[in-house]
Amino acid sequence: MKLRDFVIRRMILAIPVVFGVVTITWILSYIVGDPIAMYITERTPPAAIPGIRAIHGLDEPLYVQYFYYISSLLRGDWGQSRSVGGDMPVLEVIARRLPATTELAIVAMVFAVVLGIPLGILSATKKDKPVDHVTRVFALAGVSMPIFWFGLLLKYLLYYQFGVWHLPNLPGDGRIDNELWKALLGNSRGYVPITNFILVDSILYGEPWGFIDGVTHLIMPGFCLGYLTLAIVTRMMRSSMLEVLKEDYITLARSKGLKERVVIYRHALRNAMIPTVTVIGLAFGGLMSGAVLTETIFNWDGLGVWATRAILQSDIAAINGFTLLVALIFVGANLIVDLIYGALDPRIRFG
Amino acid sequence: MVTADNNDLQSSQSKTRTVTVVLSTLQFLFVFAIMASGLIALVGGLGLFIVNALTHAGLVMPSIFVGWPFQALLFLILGFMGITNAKGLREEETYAYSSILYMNLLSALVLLSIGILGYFLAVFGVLIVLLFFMPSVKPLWYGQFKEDAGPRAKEFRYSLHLIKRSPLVVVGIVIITSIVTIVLAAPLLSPYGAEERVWDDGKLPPGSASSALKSTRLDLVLLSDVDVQPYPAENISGFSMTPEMITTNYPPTINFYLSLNATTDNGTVYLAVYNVSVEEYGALAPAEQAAHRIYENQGLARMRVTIQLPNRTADYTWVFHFDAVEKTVPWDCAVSIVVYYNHWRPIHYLGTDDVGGDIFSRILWAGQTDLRISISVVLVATVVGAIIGAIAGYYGGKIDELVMRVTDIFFAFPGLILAMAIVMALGVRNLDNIALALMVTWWPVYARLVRGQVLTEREKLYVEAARSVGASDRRILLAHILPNTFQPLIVQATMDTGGVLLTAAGLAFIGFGPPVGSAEWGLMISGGQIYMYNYPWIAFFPGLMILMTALAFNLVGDGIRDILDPKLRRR
Repeated sequence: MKLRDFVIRRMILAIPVVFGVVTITWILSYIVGDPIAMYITERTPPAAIPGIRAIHGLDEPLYVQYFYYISSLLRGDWGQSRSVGGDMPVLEVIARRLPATTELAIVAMVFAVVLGIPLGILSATKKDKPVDHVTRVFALAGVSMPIFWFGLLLKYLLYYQFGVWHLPNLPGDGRIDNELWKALLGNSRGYVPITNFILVDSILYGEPWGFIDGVTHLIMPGFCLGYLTLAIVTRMMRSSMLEVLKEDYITLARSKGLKERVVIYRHALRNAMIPTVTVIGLAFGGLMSGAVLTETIFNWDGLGVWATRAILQSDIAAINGFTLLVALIFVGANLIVDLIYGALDPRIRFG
Repeated sequence: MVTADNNDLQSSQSKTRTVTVVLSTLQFLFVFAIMASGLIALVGGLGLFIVNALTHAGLVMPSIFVGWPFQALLFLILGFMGITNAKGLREEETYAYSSILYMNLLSALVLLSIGILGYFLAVFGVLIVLLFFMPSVKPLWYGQFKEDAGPRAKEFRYSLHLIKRSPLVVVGIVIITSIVTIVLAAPLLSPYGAEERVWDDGKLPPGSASSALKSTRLDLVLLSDVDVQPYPAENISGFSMTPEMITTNYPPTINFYLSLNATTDNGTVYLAVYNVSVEEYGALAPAEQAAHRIYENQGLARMRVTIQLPNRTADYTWVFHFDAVEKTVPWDCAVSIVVYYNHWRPIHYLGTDDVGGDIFSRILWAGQTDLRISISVVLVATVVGAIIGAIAGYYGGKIDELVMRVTDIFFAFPGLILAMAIVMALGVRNLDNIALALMVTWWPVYARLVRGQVLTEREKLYVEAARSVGASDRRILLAHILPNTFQPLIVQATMDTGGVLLTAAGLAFIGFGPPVGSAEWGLMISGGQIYMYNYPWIAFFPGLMILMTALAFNLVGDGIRDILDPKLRRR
């Protein structure tokens, strides 16, 4: 009962934010140029433009246009993107490319959580020992790392230099080795997306080699993208763990004669996780920013590459669509974080 | 006796009175100058923005009017506060002195980020502060200031002590100081200019010597569009090769360029160089002069020669004149005589990029741009955010609700993406617009931070005490509450300087920054991207600089968080 109220309250609070986001993208489309550019393409005959203008209400007063804009967003008409080689509705482009970015973001998140939490715990339990110093500098370097440069370095070392040294190297570009897929599937097109999640699709196709290929392609961009989040998670975990270890109940647990392992993993970890979970949730937005840069470097055919190209080609519909999508994902992630927060910490009474 | 003393006292009082009036007038002038420049920038920038948005025209105004709208906003705010201070100064209120002290220094800092006009005003502002220390003014305020500052100075010394004890902060400070010093000394340290290219030196590895000579240039004569009289009027002049000018194996050279565009073809140019000084030349007979002549030429209206000189100290004289039967109008005459000496082959310490730009020099020049951007963005965002957050937190209610909803919306966009969209909306892709976009995206962080602090501070006893003695809201907020929110603000601002640097470089990397070829760290990496495998140094060193700078700011921010935290400070 209480949980439901809490969820509803949170959702209501998110509505003005979503409206603000929509308004900002609308204003941006006005500043950039004539918003009619969202709905037409180079091949639209000039004679058709007044008609399109009328359909989308762009000949009406501004406030009417605003409502038209919102209603077309709600109807699922986010405009036409013309920077994908040929025109395509923005929502369709998003549907095609979102899986690629999501896959990358998930792998990055896995790196961040799987490495970050243990590192943070290690650093906190060995405070002021050499391990702690090394971990702290590692984490600080992650926060200060220009992600685009880090990606280039990874590519140089793990792909190029390993190749030069005749070591097994990781692929440097793209999501798949299409030659491999052509051989696997025995067709001329190679990989044909089903869900466009490579790892899922390779299972659906029943191709273990395709799966391995997908994983090797994911490691480098995934780590590159995840390093920042990894650093943030490590730092947060360290500081919250240190905070928790000072609490009375930890002293009590120790004085009961419990093993240090049990004290840390049973008693301290749960409470120390609370701020870390918040940070992980908020990091999703950062991952989307990072994805723009990472995808550019690793030639990863996802949303980021599309957004960059869209902006460089003044593709307003695509820019608006991408900005809106990222903001919505961010708002959604915040909502989920709030819910997990409540679940982890019983002191936070819902509502 | 008594009357004399009284007279003395009176005269010194009236003298002090005059000085304070002069001082406060100066302060008024300073405040009005700041406000005026703020107003010009705001109105000019906004006007241009609206005109461009309505007409989709890419109008460009001189950057002095449009480059810094956010600083302009800040100037207006500072100006309004400054007027009260100046009034207080006129009435010799003690609070006005320390208030002006801090405000003028803050204004000077912000002014430094807007360019040449700002430098002048900043110096003016600091000068006013210095005038406070005149013997006739100092006793008015210094005693109380010292009393106030005493405990603060003690705390400050204790902070310094703590800083010295934490090695990571010291490392960070050392890195920042050295980077800032090196970058500011770019004109002295870098052998090449920001956009200078040595076309033959493309993709040289680090440490290789340039294939093209570089030399020091000495302009002896540089004339254009001048009325030069025809022969017998002669130009005789000279120069000396001093020992300092001869330090290498390459002999110095003189480049002569003489040209005469006469409307008729009857003009010729005559040039001769002698290896004696002007005085000796004048004393010699014509035949002896001819013996000392090392170069002579007569050209038809135009002459361009390079003369190599022996590599030793000597005096030289040159003579040139224009021969024309009649002087026709107009004569278009240009003369340039330049000595190149101290030739050397610069070493490309960090290699060169694909078109022969020296990476070492370019990194230094780019550092000036990047540091300026990140510091001014953080400065402006901090002040604007702090003021908005303080107002929201102090007054609460509807204002608070509104501000928090607006910050919510800003927080819903990841910084890079909102900045991308704003740069896009501003129309022109350059560094100023990146800075503006980052200011717009960054202020909510500080607004949130300060609001939270103000909410806890305003319930405290000292605020109650200030209110009970009748202090105004503005005074409570500015003088009592805000100083207590500085600690987290400083930490956040230090760490964000690194973050802004990364975001700005990232934006430049994907093509939102200045045009290709400009010196900017992110852009340099993007230029080296395609050469990464064969010529990795092109992208490596700029990235290393970004990493080092951001790391240093994070180290310092991380360290002073613990140092400034009152909970951890004393054990």
